[in-house]
Amino acid sequence: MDRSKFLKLSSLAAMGWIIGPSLVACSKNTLFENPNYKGKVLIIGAGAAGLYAGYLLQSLGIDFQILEARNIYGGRMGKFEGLSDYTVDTGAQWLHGNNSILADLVKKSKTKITNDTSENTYWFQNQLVKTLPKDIEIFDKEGLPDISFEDYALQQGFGSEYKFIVESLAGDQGADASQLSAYWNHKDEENWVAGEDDFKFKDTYFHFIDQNIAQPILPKIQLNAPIDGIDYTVDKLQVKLKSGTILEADKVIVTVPISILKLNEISFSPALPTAKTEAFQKIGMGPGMKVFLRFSTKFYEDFVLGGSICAAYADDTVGKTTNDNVLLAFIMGEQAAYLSGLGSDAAIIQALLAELDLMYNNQASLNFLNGVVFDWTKEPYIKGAYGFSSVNMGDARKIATQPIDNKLFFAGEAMNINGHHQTVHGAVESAYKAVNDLILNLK
Amino acid sequence: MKKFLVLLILVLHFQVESQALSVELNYSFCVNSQFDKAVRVYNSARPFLTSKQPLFRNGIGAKIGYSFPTKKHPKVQYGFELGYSYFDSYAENDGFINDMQLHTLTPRFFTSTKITNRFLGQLILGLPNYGMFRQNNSEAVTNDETPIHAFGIGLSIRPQLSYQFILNEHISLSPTFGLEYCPFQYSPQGEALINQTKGLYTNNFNSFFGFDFGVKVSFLKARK
Repeated sequence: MDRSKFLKLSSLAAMGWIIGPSLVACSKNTLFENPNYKGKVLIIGAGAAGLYAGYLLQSLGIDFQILEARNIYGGRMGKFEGLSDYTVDTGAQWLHGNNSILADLVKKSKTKITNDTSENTYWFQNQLVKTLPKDIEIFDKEGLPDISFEDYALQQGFGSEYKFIVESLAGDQGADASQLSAYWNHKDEENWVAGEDDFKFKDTYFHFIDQNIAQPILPKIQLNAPIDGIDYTVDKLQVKLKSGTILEADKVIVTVPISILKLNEISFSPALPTAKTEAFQKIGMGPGMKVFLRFSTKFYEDFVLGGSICAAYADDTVGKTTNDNVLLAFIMGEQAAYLSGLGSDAAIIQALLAELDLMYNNQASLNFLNGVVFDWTKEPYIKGAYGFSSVNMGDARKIATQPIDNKLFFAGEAMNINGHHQTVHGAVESAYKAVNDLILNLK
Repeated sequence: MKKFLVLLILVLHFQVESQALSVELNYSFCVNSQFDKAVRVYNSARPFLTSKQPLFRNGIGAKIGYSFPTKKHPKVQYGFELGYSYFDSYAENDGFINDMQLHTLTPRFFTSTKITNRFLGQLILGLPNYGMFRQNNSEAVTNDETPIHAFGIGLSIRPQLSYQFILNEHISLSPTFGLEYCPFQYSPQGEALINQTKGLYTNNFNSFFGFDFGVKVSFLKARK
């Protein structure tokens, strides 16, 4: 072979080496089209994460079963029809942002949503005001210290008169101002790319998830199936139900609320690594409650922040087709614990009406028709609102969500490591991450 | 825009007068490992989308260049060119339209040599600038009330072959074929724009590999 022929052949071979793999790779536009996995996956919990994990597995032709402790699926989403002429969301109700898996599903399914553009009114020094004397937007900047919202606000000169304004900001994150980290919360905000607008469903969030995600996998959901423990020492994992039944699986995806893991209500054999259980403890999750108050007239503003009994009141009828006037009291942290401790729904409603009377010159009691309380802390398999970033949290969320032995996977809103925790779409994203890890580790 | 057009006309005029202008239109094929992964994650996370989002693969492009010969080596030329390529990923699902565009603008420096009388080989170094944009149902995807864009910059190396057909004393027509490899750094918004996650499935260091073929028109002689 002469030199020029050798050079020509070498050039052709080099081009083939470079182009060939690219052409082969070009046709595949999904990560795992046909995993052809014959094992069984058990999903613990039928909240948004559990349902979406099942929905994904079904689309991949993988055998799975969802075990739900309660007698209804949906987790921290729910609906209630007995209060007014429309159905209220007892749990999650806002679609936060319009860039997410769920937002795409909303668009594709043509689900009716409304951008909630309610403007803030503040209850400040016993007056309702549209603006505060000092701008409280102090938590959205670089270089915040890892101290609580409460401490940082004090450090910045926001005294006790701003206490419940700060509580309302922390409450939006499902937290007490004394526990929410200014630093880690801001880190989460930096990762947030879902968009800033908040949308409300014409029906309910539950209805949307039910129709689009739960219904296609309904036969795979087993209700009233609380579990006792998971043994992952053996090849086939064993999931023991509180009823005594033992189910076997090749993989398990745990999607229960972080509160359940923090309280060790599910036993693992062998025990989970210490780093993981410590990580569970570092992720915050506090009490949460929603109270709906129906009135004969609308005497209140759309969104009132800063109450000492409830830091956030919102007109619940925004985005709904209704003739009723329903005000939502959105209560988190210490305020939720205090109201929960009053002992009865009537006492909780009375406490809220008393605060609203103070704000609106006794209009609340005069116009009150009926109300209903949903105390998520008292739900035995939920026990709280949603996960938040506590002081000294560090990488807890990343550690908490790491799979164990390629057998145990973790998902749920608190396990979202992309800044979208506390949300339904964040729970769905975490479910995808768990399924992604599960499938890719099959090879 | 007006300023740009005036500048373009001046450049064209200068180059035509300099007898070495070339204009090329081409088809481009590219493989972006990290963008591919982000699109694949987007698709696999959304089984409800029946029309999957295509990868950024097939694009169109245009180049405008200027070359000049060297006195010592008449067979060797040097030159500059500016290339633009456009790649699109478009999918429609029951009226939900997701459209992502990848634009590249690349200033390049090249050296070329005649392999035979008609065959020209070129080695080209470039500084590609990338921009990615996305719309849902024709509305820009936003975060914090600002449209999300993603930008990147890289360094490319590109061998290219062309075969020259001389149409007349002023104009030649050349089919071209080029390969390009380009490592580049992207803003974290790249993954966010495609999949609404940041740094979860991809990293910001990407590599682009592609090839293109096209037709180049060269103006061989000055009019004056």
